[in-house]
Amino acid sequence: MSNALDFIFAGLPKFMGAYPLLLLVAGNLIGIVFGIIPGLTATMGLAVFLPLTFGMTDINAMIFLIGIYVGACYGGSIPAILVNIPGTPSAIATGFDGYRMAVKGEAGTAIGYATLSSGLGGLLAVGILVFAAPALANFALTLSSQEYTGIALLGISIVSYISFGSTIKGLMGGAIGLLLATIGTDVISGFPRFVWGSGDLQGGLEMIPVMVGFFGLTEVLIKLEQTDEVRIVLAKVGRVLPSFGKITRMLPMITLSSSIGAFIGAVPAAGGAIASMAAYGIQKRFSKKSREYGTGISEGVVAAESANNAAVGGAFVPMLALGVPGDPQTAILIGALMIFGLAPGPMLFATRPDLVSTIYLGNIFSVVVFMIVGLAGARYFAHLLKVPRHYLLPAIMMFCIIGTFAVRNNVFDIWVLLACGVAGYLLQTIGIQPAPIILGFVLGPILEDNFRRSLIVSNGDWTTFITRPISLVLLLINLFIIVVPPLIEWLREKRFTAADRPERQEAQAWEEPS
Amino acid sequence: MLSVKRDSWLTFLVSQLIGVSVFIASADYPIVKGQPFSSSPAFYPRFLAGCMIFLGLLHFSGNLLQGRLGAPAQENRSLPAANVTYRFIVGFLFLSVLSVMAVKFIGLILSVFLLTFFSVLLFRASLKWRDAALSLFYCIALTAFIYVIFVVFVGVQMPRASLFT
Repeated sequence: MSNALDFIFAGLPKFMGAYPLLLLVAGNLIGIVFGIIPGLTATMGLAVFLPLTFGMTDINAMIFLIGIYVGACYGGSIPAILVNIPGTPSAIATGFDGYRMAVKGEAGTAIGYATLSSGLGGLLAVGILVFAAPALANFALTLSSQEYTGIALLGISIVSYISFGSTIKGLMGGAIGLLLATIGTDVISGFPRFVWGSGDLQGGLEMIPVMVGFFGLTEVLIKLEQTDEVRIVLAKVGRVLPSFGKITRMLPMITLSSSIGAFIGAVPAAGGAIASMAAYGIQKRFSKKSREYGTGISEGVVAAESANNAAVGGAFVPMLALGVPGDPQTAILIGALMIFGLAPGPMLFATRPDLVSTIYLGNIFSVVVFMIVGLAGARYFAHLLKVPRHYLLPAIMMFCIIGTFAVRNNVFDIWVLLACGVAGYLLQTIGIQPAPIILGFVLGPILEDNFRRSLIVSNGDWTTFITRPISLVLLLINLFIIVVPPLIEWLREKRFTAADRPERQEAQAWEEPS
Repeated sequence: MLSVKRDSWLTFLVSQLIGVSVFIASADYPIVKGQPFSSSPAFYPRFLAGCMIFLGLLHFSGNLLQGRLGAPAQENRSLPAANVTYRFIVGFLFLSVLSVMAVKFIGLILSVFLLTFFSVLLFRASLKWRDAALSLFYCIALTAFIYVIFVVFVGVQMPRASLFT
């Protein structure tokens, strides 16, 4: 215990100066801005500002880049809460309840909960990393393609379950997302699929246009359905800081979500999106308030946000211990370490303990910085809500278009954005939500690669997924999530007594058009 | 608001349409003899298309048998269905398509500025000169801000405007 603490604080002297602290704060603010603005991402922020670090020492560069990474992961939750457009994929689940809290006039409280739970989640994840990193990393290393297939399916089944409305429609959305991910050159055979001779489609659809289209433009189009001049969210930001008692009562929940987040974040390529979705789904499944999730309760925001930022800490485990990126952001950080002539991996702990310690401390201090900025700035972020619809919607569209173009300087991506926005709007009218589509799209390459690799290795033997214990357990969990809730719902309906029937008929009459 | 019955039909049609389209589009994808079908580029999309068709049938048959497997589609739409209008949506999409087509000629920044300006005018209730001037000022300020962030700060290379070169 004391050895671990000594190890954490070994890098503390590196922070004892105005310059490193300034870099940390600057990195955080840049990250928050990149997280808040739709179309800008943590990955883009890191990539854009990476060249700035060439003139710094490796320690200062890491402090700056970690500030951007952590700040952007937190910043993504702010637009998710205020305008229901997640700034980053990992903030998708935050919007489920956060946005509905904002609609109810609790935008400030939602940001307060998001900030505190993100902070506590981030801090707990660093603790988990320090004490359980080797075990987590070893476990993730033992997984094979069969298990990765199960993990990817878990992401889709969870999002299908938590998406509002029908689970089947959630699964359909997941399948649409997975199909969108198949566009482009097949990695295994090298054959171009669904490209119809287009050079732009050869490399597949970029994530940003698809995500911004399904979330940003779809949301704009839905808002345009209203004839009345209504603001995006009719919310008044009041008290930001939640009561101490309520946060204390949520500590077990934060601990569980953070543990889930740190664990999933440590699985290479899993990332914060799956972590927050999984934590949200699990908390919803086992909560006494299960039915209230998605209606705008603080527990939903806390469940998603604590896991989201804990996943950042988790992603550092394979990066530092094994040299394997946990997500695209850590891939850039690995690149940054390599630029400084360092090889991330087990040897880093022995050769540069000060750098490893700085990375842990950078995470801790970044959390402190964004908590201060988030709590102090919530009222100012909420000014977005005061902009009239005729100003806000075109501005969002402008950011969406330019942000989409900025990914690879290609006008084709703007067409993809428009197509996805219209498709998302039309699919929503029949109850297929964008979240499963996006999760399917993000998980598509991981699922396809591992699913097909498993079948090729086993020579087409489908039992390969049930003969490995971990894979079998993951598939059973998937089956449980997909089958059991609708089954329970069906059994409940069967139990309707004659006295209940009039109520049900009344409810059905409400669903029918008048 | 769609009735459950109509919603069910539409969901069924969309799922079958997507599933069948994938099968048709992947009909001529190569299959290497002697190797498992999973190595073919058609395998995975067709597997997903099959899932899509199955899910559509399951949803439809579930509704048909009155054993509804989920809540009605419109239940969780973020906005009420009352006062729905499509004129803003159609107008906005029309302007968006026009502006993307104009990128080649007038550049991205100018086309996005025009899209924003005309969208603001479209969504405004009144079209007085004062409002138009205010909208113009807002759009110029917004475009300048976007330009500073993306072009100056991030360093995004904007496409050349053929009209000005």
